Amino acid sequence: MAQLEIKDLYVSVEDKEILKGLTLSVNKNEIHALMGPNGNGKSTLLAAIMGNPKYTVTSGSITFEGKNVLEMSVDERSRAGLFLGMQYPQEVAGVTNSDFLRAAINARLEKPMPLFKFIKEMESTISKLEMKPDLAHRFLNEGFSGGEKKRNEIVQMNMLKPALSMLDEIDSGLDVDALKIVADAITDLQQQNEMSLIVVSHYARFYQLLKPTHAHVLVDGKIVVSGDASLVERIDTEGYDWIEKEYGVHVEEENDQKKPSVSSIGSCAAKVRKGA
Amino acid sequence: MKKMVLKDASLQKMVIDADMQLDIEVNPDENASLYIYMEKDVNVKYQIHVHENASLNLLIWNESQGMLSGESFCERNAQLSFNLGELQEKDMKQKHLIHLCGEESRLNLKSANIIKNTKTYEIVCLHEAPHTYSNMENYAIVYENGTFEMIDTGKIVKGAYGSESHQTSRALILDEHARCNITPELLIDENDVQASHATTMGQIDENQLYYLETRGLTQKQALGLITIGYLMPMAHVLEDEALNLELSTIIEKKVGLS
Repeated sequence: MAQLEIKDLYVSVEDKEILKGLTLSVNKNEIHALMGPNGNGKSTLLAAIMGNPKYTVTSGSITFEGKNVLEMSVDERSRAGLFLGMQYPQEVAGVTNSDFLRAAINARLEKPMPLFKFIKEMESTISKLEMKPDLAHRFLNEGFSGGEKKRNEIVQMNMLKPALSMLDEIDSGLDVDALKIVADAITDLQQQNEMSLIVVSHYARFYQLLKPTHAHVLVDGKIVVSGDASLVERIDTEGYDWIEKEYGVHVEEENDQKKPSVSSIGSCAAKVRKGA
Repeated sequence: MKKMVLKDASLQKMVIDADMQLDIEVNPDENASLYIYMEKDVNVKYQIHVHENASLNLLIWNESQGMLSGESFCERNAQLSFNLGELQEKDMKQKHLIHLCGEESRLNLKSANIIKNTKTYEIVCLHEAPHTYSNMENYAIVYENGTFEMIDTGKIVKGAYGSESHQTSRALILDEHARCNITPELLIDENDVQASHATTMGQIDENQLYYLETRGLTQKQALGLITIGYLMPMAHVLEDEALNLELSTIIEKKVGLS
Protein backbone atom coordinates (compact mmCIF):
# COMPACT_ATOMS: atom_id res chain seq x y z
CA MET A 1 0.00 0.00 0.00
CA ALA A 2 1.21 3.45 -0.88
CA GLN A 3 2.09 5.99 1.83
CA LEU A 4 -0.86 8.18 0.86
CA GLU A 5 -3.81 6.44 -0.79
CA ILE A 6 -6.78 8.41 -2.05
CA LYS A 7 -9.64 6.43 -3.51
CA ASP A 8 -12.70 7.65 -5.37
CA LEU A 9 -12.85 10.86 -3.35
CA TYR A 10 -15.85 13.19 -3.51
CA VAL A 11 -15.59 16.54 -1.77
CA SER A 12 -18.09 19.39 -1.50
CA VAL A 13 -17.80 22.98 -0.39
CA GLU A 14 -21.00 24.69 0.67
CA ASP A 15 -23.03 21.99 -1.14
CA LYS A 16 -21.14 22.40 -4.37
CA GLU A 17 -19.35 19.25 -5.46
CA ILE A 18 -15.73 20.00 -6.34
CA LEU A 19 -13.96 16.63 -6.34
CA LYS A 20 -15.83 13.95 -8.24
CA GLY A 21 -14.17 10.60 -7.77
CA LEU A 22 -10.47 11.39 -7.47
CA THR A 23 -7.95 8.62 -7.05
CA LEU A 24 -4.25 9.15 -6.30
CA SER A 25 -1.38 7.22 -4.71
CA VAL A 26 1.78 8.83 -3.39
CA ASN A 27 4.77 6.86 -2.13
CA LYS A 28 7.61 7.81 0.12
CA ASN A 29 10.29 9.86 -1.62
CA GLU A 30 8.05 10.72 -4.58
CA ILE A 31 7.44 14.24 -5.83
CA HIS A 32 4.05 14.72 -7.45
CA ALA A 33 3.25 17.79 -9.54
CA LEU A 34 -0.46 18.59 -9.49
CA MET A 35 -1.61 20.77 -12.36
CA GLY A 36 -4.83 21.87 -13.93
CA PRO A 37 -6.70 25.07 -14.65
CA ASN A 38 -7.91 27.19 -11.74
CA GLY A 39 -11.12 26.14 -10.08
CA ASN A 40 -10.88 22.44 -10.92
CA GLY A 41 -10.12 21.17 -7.44
CA LYS A 42 -6.35 21.23 -6.74
CA SER A 43 -6.56 23.33 -3.58
CA THR A 44 -9.71 21.47 -2.56
CA LEU A 45 -7.84 18.18 -2.70
CA LEU A 46 -5.05 19.47 -0.45
CA ALA A 47 -7.50 21.10 1.96
CA ALA A 48 -9.52 17.87 2.18
CA ILE A 49 -6.40 15.84 2.92
CA MET A 50 -5.46 18.30 5.68
CA GLY A 51 -9.01 18.34 7.07
CA ASN A 52 -10.14 21.93 6.53
CA PRO A 53 -13.58 22.03 8.17
CA LYS A 54 -15.04 24.00 5.24
CA TYR A 55 -14.58 20.98 2.96
CA THR A 56 -16.87 17.99 3.32
CA VAL A 57 -15.81 14.57 2.14
CA THR A 58 -19.03 12.97 0.93
CA SER A 59 -17.56 9.65 -0.17
CA GLY A 60 -14.30 7.86 -0.85
CA SER A 61 -11.29 7.24 1.37
CA ILE A 62 -7.94 8.72 2.32
CA THR A 63 -5.33 6.67 4.16
CA PHE A 64 -1.89 7.77 5.25
CA GLU A 65 0.64 5.15 6.35
CA GLY A 66 -2.24 2.71 6.71
CA LYS A 67 -4.32 4.97 8.95
CA ASN A 68 -7.74 6.35 8.08
CA VAL A 69 -7.11 10.07 7.69
CA LEU A 70 -10.79 10.96 7.52
CA GLU A 71 -11.26 9.87 11.12
CA MET A 72 -8.50 12.17 12.35
CA SER A 73 -8.77 15.79 13.48
CA VAL A 74 -6.67 18.43 11.74
CA ASP A 75 -4.01 18.47 14.46
CA GLU A 76 -3.83 14.66 14.51
CA ARG A 77 -3.20 14.67 10.77
CA SER A 78 -0.37 17.13 11.29
CA ARG A 79 1.18 15.10 14.07
CA ALA A 80 0.84 11.98 11.89
CA GLY A 81 3.22 13.64 9.41
CA LEU A 82 1.09 15.63 6.98
CA PHE A 83 1.92 19.25 6.22
CA LEU A 84 0.11 21.84 4.12
CA GLY A 85 2.03 24.89 2.94
CA MET A 86 -0.81 27.28 2.27
CA GLN A 87 -1.61 29.59 -0.58
CA TYR A 88 -2.86 32.23 1.86
CA PRO A 89 -1.15 31.77 5.23
CA GLN A 90 -3.03 33.34 8.12
CA GLU A 91 -1.78 36.29 10.13
CA VAL A 92 -1.97 35.75 13.87
CA ALA A 93 -1.22 38.88 15.91
CA GLY A 94 -0.05 38.42 19.47
CA VAL A 95 1.60 35.04 18.77
CA THR A 96 5.29 35.13 17.92
CA ASN A 97 6.73 32.78 15.31
CA SER A 98 9.03 31.20 17.87
CA ASP A 99 6.34 30.60 20.52
CA PHE A 100 4.11 29.12 17.85
CA LEU A 101 6.75 26.84 16.33
CA ARG A 102 8.00 25.69 19.69
CA ALA A 103 4.48 24.74 20.71
CA ALA A 104 3.99 22.96 17.37
CA ILE A 105 7.25 21.01 17.70
CA ASN A 106 6.61 20.10 21.32
CA ALA A 107 3.10 18.96 20.39
CA ARG A 108 4.70 16.06 18.51
CA LEU A 109 7.40 15.17 21.05
CA GLU A 110 7.04 13.23 24.27
CA LYS A 111 9.52 15.46 26.01
CA PRO A 112 9.73 19.14 25.06
CA MET A 113 12.71 20.12 22.94
CA PRO A 114 15.35 21.93 25.01
CA LEU A 115 15.06 25.66 24.45
CA PHE A 116 18.68 26.00 23.39
CA LYS A 117 18.35 23.35 20.71
CA PHE A 118 15.15 24.94 19.45
CA ILE A 119 16.74 28.40 19.16
CA LYS A 120 19.72 26.95 17.29
CA GLU A 121 17.50 25.12 14.85
CA MET A 122 15.21 28.09 14.32
CA GLU A 123 18.17 30.41 13.67
CA SER A 124 19.72 28.09 11.13
CA THR A 125 16.40 27.58 9.34
CA ILE A 126 15.75 31.32 9.21
CA SER A 127 19.18 31.95 7.72
CA LYS A 128 18.74 29.11 5.25
CA LEU A 129 15.56 30.72 3.94
CA GLU A 130 17.40 34.07 4.00
CA MET A 131 14.80 35.72 6.15
CA LYS A 132 15.42 38.56 8.59
CA PRO A 133 16.88 37.35 11.90
CA ASP A 134 14.09 39.03 13.89
CA LEU A 135 11.55 36.64 12.34
CA ALA A 136 11.43 34.52 15.49
CA HIS A 137 10.20 37.44 17.56
CA ARG A 138 7.73 38.86 15.09
CA PHE A 139 4.07 37.96 15.26
CA LEU A 140 3.08 35.03 13.08
CA ASN A 141 2.86 36.36 9.50
CA GLU A 142 1.61 39.73 10.73
CA GLY A 143 2.54 42.47 8.29
CA PHE A 144 4.60 40.01 6.23
CA SER A 145 4.81 40.54 2.49
CA GLY A 146 3.33 37.81 0.27
CA GLY A 147 6.79 36.37 -0.35
CA GLU A 148 7.74 36.43 3.34
CA LYS A 149 4.59 34.52 4.24
CA LYS A 150 5.42 31.81 1.70
CA ARG A 151 8.98 31.54 2.94
CA ASN A 152 7.69 31.30 6.48
CA GLU A 153 5.60 28.29 5.43
CA ILE A 154 8.82 26.62 4.34
CA VAL A 155 10.53 27.62 7.60
CA GLN A 156 7.72 25.81 9.41
CA MET A 157 7.99 22.78 7.13
CA ASN A 158 11.72 22.60 7.77
CA MET A 159 11.24 22.74 11.52
CA LEU A 160 8.35 20.26 11.68
CA LYS A 161 9.92 17.76 9.26
CA PRO A 162 6.73 16.16 7.93
CA ALA A 163 6.71 12.83 6.11
CA LEU A 164 4.49 14.25 3.38
CA SER A 165 4.24 17.89 2.42
CA MET A 166 1.58 19.47 0.27
CA LEU A 167 2.50 22.84 -1.16
CA ASP A 168 -0.33 24.96 -2.51
CA GLU A 169 1.04 27.58 -4.90
CA ILE A 170 3.86 28.19 -2.47
CA ASP A 171 5.85 29.78 -5.31
CA SER A 172 3.36 32.55 -6.05
CA GLY A 173 4.50 35.89 -4.67
CA LEU A 174 8.17 34.88 -4.76
CA ASP A 175 10.70 36.68 -6.90
CA VAL A 176 13.27 34.75 -8.95
CA ASP A 177 15.89 34.67 -6.19
CA ALA A 178 13.43 33.72 -3.48
CA LEU A 179 12.03 30.98 -5.72
CA LYS A 180 15.48 29.40 -5.89
CA ILE A 181 16.04 29.71 -2.13
CA VAL A 182 12.67 28.11 -1.40
CA ALA A 183 13.14 25.33 -3.96
CA ASP A 184 16.60 24.52 -2.57
CA ALA A 185 15.26 24.33 0.98
CA ILE A 186 12.44 22.03 -0.12
CA THR A 187 14.80 19.80 -2.11
CA ASP A 188 17.30 19.53 0.77
CA LEU A 189 14.64 18.50 3.25
CA GLN A 190 13.07 16.14 0.71
CA GLN A 191 16.38 14.36 0.15
CA GLN A 192 17.35 14.25 3.83
CA ASN A 193 14.10 12.73 5.00
CA GLU A 194 12.87 11.03 1.82
CA MET A 195 9.86 13.29 2.27
CA SER A 196 7.10 12.89 -0.28
CA LEU A 197 5.61 15.98 -1.89
CA ILE A 198 2.45 17.03 -3.64
CA VAL A 199 3.13 20.34 -5.31
CA VAL A 200 0.53 22.62 -6.85
CA SER A 201 2.00 25.33 -9.05
CA HIS A 202 1.27 27.06 -12.33
CA TYR A 203 4.92 27.57 -13.14
CA ALA A 204 7.16 25.13 -14.99
CA ARG A 205 10.15 26.98 -13.57
CA PHE A 206 9.32 25.90 -10.02
CA TYR A 207 8.80 22.32 -11.16
CA GLN A 208 12.12 22.37 -13.02
CA LEU A 209 13.83 23.19 -9.73
CA LEU A 210 11.96 20.53 -7.75
CA LYS A 211 12.21 17.78 -10.39
CA PRO A 212 8.92 15.92 -9.92
CA THR A 213 8.84 12.16 -10.30
CA HIS A 214 5.15 12.19 -11.18
CA ALA A 215 2.74 14.69 -12.72
CA HIS A 216 -1.05 14.82 -12.84
CA VAL A 217 -3.63 17.02 -14.46
CA LEU A 218 -6.78 17.62 -12.47
CA VAL A 219 -9.85 18.61 -14.46
CA ASP A 220 -13.39 18.94 -13.16
CA GLY A 221 -12.66 17.14 -9.90
CA LYS A 222 -10.79 14.18 -11.35
CA ILE A 223 -7.27 13.34 -12.40
CA VAL A 224 -7.55 12.97 -16.18
CA VAL A 225 -3.90 12.50 -17.15
CA SER A 226 -0.93 11.21 -15.18
CA GLY A 227 2.66 10.95 -16.32
CA ASP A 228 6.19 11.99 -15.50
CA ALA A 229 7.94 15.37 -15.58
CA SER A 230 7.54 15.59 -19.36
CA LEU A 231 3.84 16.28 -18.77
CA VAL A 232 4.84 19.50 -17.01
CA GLU A 233 6.90 20.60 -20.02
CA ARG A 234 4.10 19.85 -22.44
CA ILE A 235 1.54 21.85 -20.46
CA ASP A 236 4.03 24.69 -20.15
CA THR A 237 4.37 24.95 -23.90
CA GLU A 238 0.94 23.84 -25.11
CA GLY A 239 -1.46 24.71 -22.30
CA TYR A 240 -4.43 22.49 -21.49
CA ASP A 241 -6.23 22.48 -24.87
CA TRP A 242 -4.65 19.24 -26.10
CA ILE A 243 -5.99 17.37 -23.09
CA GLU A 244 -9.48 18.25 -24.18
CA LYS A 245 -8.86 16.76 -27.61
CA GLU A 246 -6.85 13.70 -26.64
CA TYR A 247 -8.82 12.68 -23.58
CA GLY A 248 -12.25 13.93 -24.53
CA VAL A 249 -12.73 15.98 -21.34
CA HIS A 250 -14.07 19.47 -21.21
CA VAL A 251 -11.53 21.81 -19.65
CA GLU A 252 -13.21 24.73 -17.99
CA GLU A 253 -11.35 27.62 -16.43
CA GLU A 254 -12.75 29.02 -13.28
CA ASN A 255 -14.91 31.99 -14.10
CA ASP A 256 -17.85 32.82 -11.92
CA GLN A 257 -17.31 29.80 -9.74
CA LYS A 258 -17.33 30.84 -6.17
CA LYS A 259 -14.03 30.13 -4.53
CA PRO A 260 -14.14 29.03 -0.92
CA SER A 261 -13.75 32.24 0.96
CA VAL A 262 -10.38 32.84 2.47
CA SER A 263 -11.25 35.82 4.50
CA SER A 264 -8.79 37.89 6.37
CA ILE A 265 -10.08 40.40 8.81
CA GLY A 266 -6.93 42.35 8.95
CA SER A 267 -3.87 42.21 11.05
CA CYS A 268 -5.12 41.01 14.37
CA ALA A 269 -7.28 38.36 15.91
CA ALA A 270 -10.02 40.82 16.60
CA LYS A 271 -12.23 42.71 14.24
CA VAL A 272 -10.97 46.22 14.40
CA ARG A 273 -13.29 48.99 15.32
CA LYS A 274 -11.10 52.01 15.71
CA GLY A 275 -12.27 55.06 17.54
CA ALA A 276 -15.40 53.37 18.79
CA MET B 1 -5.11 51.55 58.07
CA LYS B 2 -1.83 50.11 56.98
CA LYS B 3 0.78 52.64 55.98
CA MET B 4 3.73 51.77 53.78
CA VAL B 5 6.55 54.10 52.91
CA LEU B 6 8.50 52.68 50.01
CA LYS B 7 12.13 53.42 49.32
CA ASP B 8 14.76 52.71 46.73
CA ALA B 9 15.07 49.03 47.19
CA SER B 10 14.54 45.77 45.49
CA LEU B 11 10.98 44.69 44.95
CA GLN B 12 8.66 44.80 47.95
CA LYS B 13 6.03 42.10 48.21
CA MET B 14 2.86 42.02 50.20
CA VAL B 15 -0.04 39.62 50.58
CA ILE B 16 -3.52 40.86 51.41
CA ASP B 17 -5.84 38.34 53.01
CA ALA B 18 -8.26 40.59 54.92
CA ASP B 19 -10.25 43.76 54.24
CA MET B 20 -7.87 46.65 54.37
CA GLN B 21 -7.23 50.34 53.93
CA LEU B 22 -3.85 50.84 52.48
CA ASP B 23 -1.73 53.96 52.32
CA ILE B 24 1.28 53.78 50.04
CA GLU B 25 3.82 56.56 49.83
CA VAL B 26 6.96 57.01 47.77
CA ASN B 27 9.13 59.87 49.03
CA PRO B 28 10.76 62.40 46.68
CA ASP B 29 13.50 61.06 44.41
CA GLU B 30 12.89 57.43 45.42
CA ASN B 31 12.23 54.68 42.86
CA ALA B 32 10.12 51.91 44.30
CA SER B 33 8.45 48.78 43.07
CA LEU B 34 5.72 46.85 44.80
CA TYR B 35 3.95 43.57 44.23
CA ILE B 36 0.60 43.11 45.94
CA TYR B 37 -1.04 39.71 45.94
CA MET B 38 -4.71 39.75 46.90
CA GLU B 39 -5.29 36.26 48.08
CA LYS B 40 -8.62 35.99 49.85
CA ASP B 41 -11.97 37.54 49.05
CA VAL B 42 -11.43 41.02 50.35
CA ASN B 43 -12.33 44.67 49.89
CA VAL B 44 -9.36 46.95 49.58
CA LYS B 45 -9.24 50.72 49.60
CA TYR B 46 -5.97 52.40 48.85
CA GLN B 47 -4.29 55.78 48.60
CA ILE B 48 -1.08 56.19 46.71
CA HIS B 49 1.21 59.23 46.84
CA VAL B 50 4.12 59.39 44.48
CA HIS B 51 6.10 62.49 45.44
CA GLU B 52 8.32 64.75 43.32
CA ASN B 53 10.75 62.99 41.00
CA ALA B 54 9.79 59.65 42.48
CA SER B 55 8.49 56.55 40.70
CA LEU B 56 6.38 53.57 41.63
CA ASN B 57 6.07 50.38 39.62
CA LEU B 58 3.07 48.59 41.06
CA LEU B 59 1.53 45.24 40.20
CA ILE B 60 -1.64 44.14 41.91
CA TRP B 61 -2.26 40.47 41.24
CA ASN B 62 -5.78 39.74 42.23
CA GLU B 63 -7.12 36.29 43.07
CA SER B 64 -9.92 37.66 45.19
CA GLN B 65 -13.55 38.56 44.85
CA GLY B 66 -14.71 41.93 46.02
CA MET B 67 -13.96 45.58 45.55
CA LEU B 68 -10.71 47.35 44.86
CA SER B 69 -10.83 51.12 44.86
CA GLY B 70 -8.72 54.12 45.57
CA GLU B 71 -7.03 57.32 44.58
CA SER B 72 -3.51 58.03 43.44
CA PHE B 73 -1.63 61.31 43.41
CA CYS B 74 1.40 61.97 41.27
CA GLU B 75 3.45 65.06 42.12
CA ARG B 76 5.79 66.97 39.83
CA ASN B 77 7.77 64.66 37.53
CA ALA B 78 6.49 61.57 39.33
CA GLN B 79 5.88 58.33 37.47
CA LEU B 80 3.29 55.72 38.30
CA SER B 81 3.11 52.34 36.55
CA PHE B 82 -0.14 50.83 37.65
CA ASN B 83 -0.63 47.20 36.60
CA LEU B 84 -3.62 45.02 37.30
CA GLY B 85 -3.53 41.26 36.83
CA GLU B 86 -7.13 40.10 36.99
CA LEU B 87 -7.13 36.45 35.97
CA GLN B 88 -9.34 35.06 38.67
CA GLU B 89 -12.70 33.45 37.90
CA LYS B 90 -14.57 35.68 40.30
CA ASP B 91 -16.69 38.83 40.33
CA MET B 92 -14.73 42.01 40.83
CA LYS B 93 -15.46 45.70 40.99
CA GLN B 94 -12.77 48.30 40.67
CA LYS B 95 -12.68 52.07 40.85
CA HIS B 96 -9.47 53.94 40.27
CA LEU B 97 -8.97 57.69 40.27
CA ILE B 98 -5.54 58.93 39.34
CA HIS B 99 -4.57 62.58 39.79
CA LEU B 100 -1.69 63.79 37.72
CA CYS B 101 -1.41 66.85 39.92
CA GLY B 102 2.23 67.75 39.35
CA GLU B 103 3.74 69.06 36.14
CA GLU B 104 5.22 66.38 33.89
CA SER B 105 3.85 63.55 35.99
CA ARG B 106 3.11 60.33 34.13
CA LEU B 107 0.76 57.38 34.41
CA ASN B 108 1.05 54.03 32.62
CA LEU B 109 -1.89 51.86 33.50
CA LYS B 110 -2.35 48.33 32.23
CA SER B 111 -4.88 45.67 32.99
CA ALA B 112 -5.04 42.05 31.85
CA ASN B 113 -8.33 40.29 32.38
CA ILE B 114 -9.79 36.84 32.13
CA ILE B 115 -13.53 37.31 32.34
CA LYS B 116 -15.59 34.28 33.29
CA ASN B 117 -17.81 36.12 35.78
CA THR B 118 -18.54 39.84 35.98
CA LYS B 119 -15.81 42.42 36.17
CA THR B 120 -16.56 46.11 36.29
CA TYR B 121 -14.07 48.92 36.03
CA GLU B 122 -14.28 52.65 36.37
CA ILE B 123 -10.94 54.27 35.70
CA VAL B 124 -10.45 58.02 35.62
CA CYS B 125 -7.19 59.76 34.96
CA LEU B 126 -7.26 63.48 35.75
CA HIS B 127 -4.68 65.66 34.07
CA GLU B 128 -4.51 68.60 36.50
CA ALA B 129 -1.14 70.07 35.55
CA PRO B 130 0.67 70.97 32.33
CA HIS B 131 2.74 68.42 30.36
CA THR B 132 1.24 65.42 32.07
CA TYR B 133 1.04 62.09 30.26
CA SER B 134 -1.19 59.06 30.60
CA ASN B 135 -1.48 55.81 28.71
CA MET B 136 -4.08 53.24 29.70
CA GLU B 137 -4.19 49.80 28.11
CA ASN B 138 -6.80 47.20 28.91
CA TYR B 139 -6.82 43.63 27.59
CA ALA B 140 -9.61 41.17 28.18
CA ILE B 141 -10.50 37.62 27.18
CA VAL B 142 -14.21 37.22 27.69
CA TYR B 143 -15.48 33.65 28.07
CA GLU B 144 -18.94 32.18 28.13
CA ASN B 145 -21.17 33.88 30.74
CA GLY B 146 -18.52 36.52 31.26
CA THR B 147 -19.40 40.20 31.49
CA PHE B 148 -16.79 42.89 31.08
CA GLU B 149 -17.72 46.50 31.79
CA MET B 150 -15.08 49.15 31.38
CA ILE B 151 -15.50 52.89 31.63
CA ASP B 152 -12.15 54.43 30.97
CA THR B 153 -11.90 58.21 31.19
CA GLY B 154 -9.08 60.58 30.45
CA LYS B 155 -9.81 64.15 31.55
CA ILE B 156 -7.57 67.07 30.75
CA VAL B 157 -8.60 70.19 32.71
CA LYS B 158 -8.18 73.77 31.53
CA GLY B 159 -4.62 74.90 32.06
CA ALA B 160 -3.09 71.42 31.73
CA TYR B 161 -1.57 72.41 28.40
CA GLY B 162 0.89 70.17 26.60
CA SER B 163 -0.69 67.06 28.11
CA GLU B 164 -1.26 63.70 26.45
CA SER B 165 -3.97 61.16 27.19
CA HIS B 166 -4.08 57.81 25.40
CA GLN B 167 -6.25 54.73 25.78
CA THR B 168 -6.34 51.31 24.15
CA SER B 169 -8.78 48.55 24.93
CA ARG B 170 -8.79 45.15 23.30
CA ALA B 171 -11.30 42.45 24.06
CA LEU B 172 -11.45 38.97 22.59
CA ILE B 173 -14.88 37.44 22.92
CA LEU B 174 -14.93 33.65 22.94
CA ASP B 175 -18.61 32.98 23.21
CA GLU B 176 -21.79 34.46 21.79
CA HIS B 177 -23.25 34.74 25.30
CA ALA B 178 -20.30 36.74 26.57
CA ARG B 179 -20.94 40.42 27.17
CA CYS B 180 -18.51 43.22 26.73
CA ASN B 181 -19.08 46.92 27.20
CA ILE B 182 -16.16 49.26 26.78
CA THR B 183 -16.72 53.01 27.08
CA PRO B 184 -13.64 55.07 26.45
CA GLU B 185 -14.08 58.75 27.26
CA LEU B 186 -11.92 61.75 26.64
CA LEU B 187 -12.97 64.97 28.34
CA ILE B 188 -10.81 67.83 27.23
CA ASP B 189 -10.95 71.47 28.31
CA GLU B 190 -7.61 72.58 26.94
CA ASN B 191 -6.57 73.21 23.34
CA ASP B 192 -2.89 72.33 23.31
CA VAL B 193 -3.13 68.60 23.99
CA GLN B 194 -2.82 65.19 22.35
CA ALA B 195 -5.38 62.50 22.97
CA SER B 196 -6.38 59.19 21.41
CA HIS B 197 -8.40 56.10 22.06
CA ALA B 198 -8.70 52.80 20.25
CA THR B 199 -11.04 49.97 21.02
CA THR B 200 -11.07 46.59 19.35
CA MET B 201 -13.55 43.91 20.16
CA GLY B 202 -13.86 40.71 18.26
CA GLN B 203 -14.34 37.02 18.16
CA ILE B 204 -11.71 34.43 17.55
CA ASP B 205 -11.00 33.88 13.88
CA GLU B 206 -11.71 30.31 12.80
CA ASN B 207 -9.21 30.55 9.99
CA GLN B 208 -6.51 31.32 12.53
CA LEU B 209 -7.49 28.35 14.66
CA TYR B 210 -7.42 26.08 11.63
CA TYR B 211 -4.01 27.39 10.60
CA LEU B 212 -2.51 26.66 14.02
CA GLU B 213 -4.16 23.24 14.09
CA THR B 214 -2.62 22.29 10.75
CA ARG B 215 0.73 22.56 12.53
CA GLY B 216 -0.25 20.01 15.14
CA LEU B 217 -1.70 22.12 17.93
CA THR B 218 -4.96 20.92 19.46
CA GLN B 219 -7.84 23.38 19.38
CA LYS B 220 -7.29 24.05 23.07
CA GLN B 221 -3.61 24.77 22.53
CA ALA B 222 -4.34 26.96 19.51
CA LEU B 223 -6.88 28.97 21.49
CA GLY B 224 -4.46 29.24 24.39
CA LEU B 225 -1.71 30.52 22.13
CA ILE B 226 -3.95 33.19 20.63
CA THR B 227 -5.27 34.36 23.99
CA ILE B 228 -1.95 34.31 25.84
CA GLY B 229 -0.68 37.24 23.81
CA TYR B 230 -3.29 39.40 25.55
CA LEU B 231 -2.17 38.44 29.02
CA MET B 232 1.50 37.57 29.01
CA PRO B 233 2.90 41.13 29.12
CA MET B 234 1.47 41.37 32.65
CA ALA B 235 3.93 38.70 33.82
CA HIS B 236 6.88 40.90 32.94
CA VAL B 237 6.05 44.32 34.34
CA LEU B 238 8.24 43.92 37.42
CA GLU B 239 11.95 43.25 37.38
CA ASP B 240 12.06 40.02 39.30
CA GLU B 241 12.91 36.91 37.35
CA ALA B 242 11.54 34.39 39.79
CA LEU B 243 8.26 36.25 40.10
CA ASN B 244 7.96 36.71 36.32
CA LEU B 245 8.44 32.99 35.82
CA GLU B 246 5.87 32.21 38.48
CA LEU B 247 3.34 34.59 36.92
CA SER B 248 3.91 33.36 33.35
CA THR B 249 3.38 29.78 34.55
CA ILE B 250 0.11 30.85 36.16
CA ILE B 251 -0.98 32.56 32.93
CA GLU B 252 -0.11 29.49 30.83
CA LYS B 253 -2.19 27.36 33.15
CA LYS B 254 -5.14 29.74 33.07
CA VAL B 255 -5.34 29.68 29.27
CA GLY B 256 -4.91 25.91 29.17
CA LEU B 257 -1.41 25.74 27.70
CA SER B 258 0.16 23.63 30.43
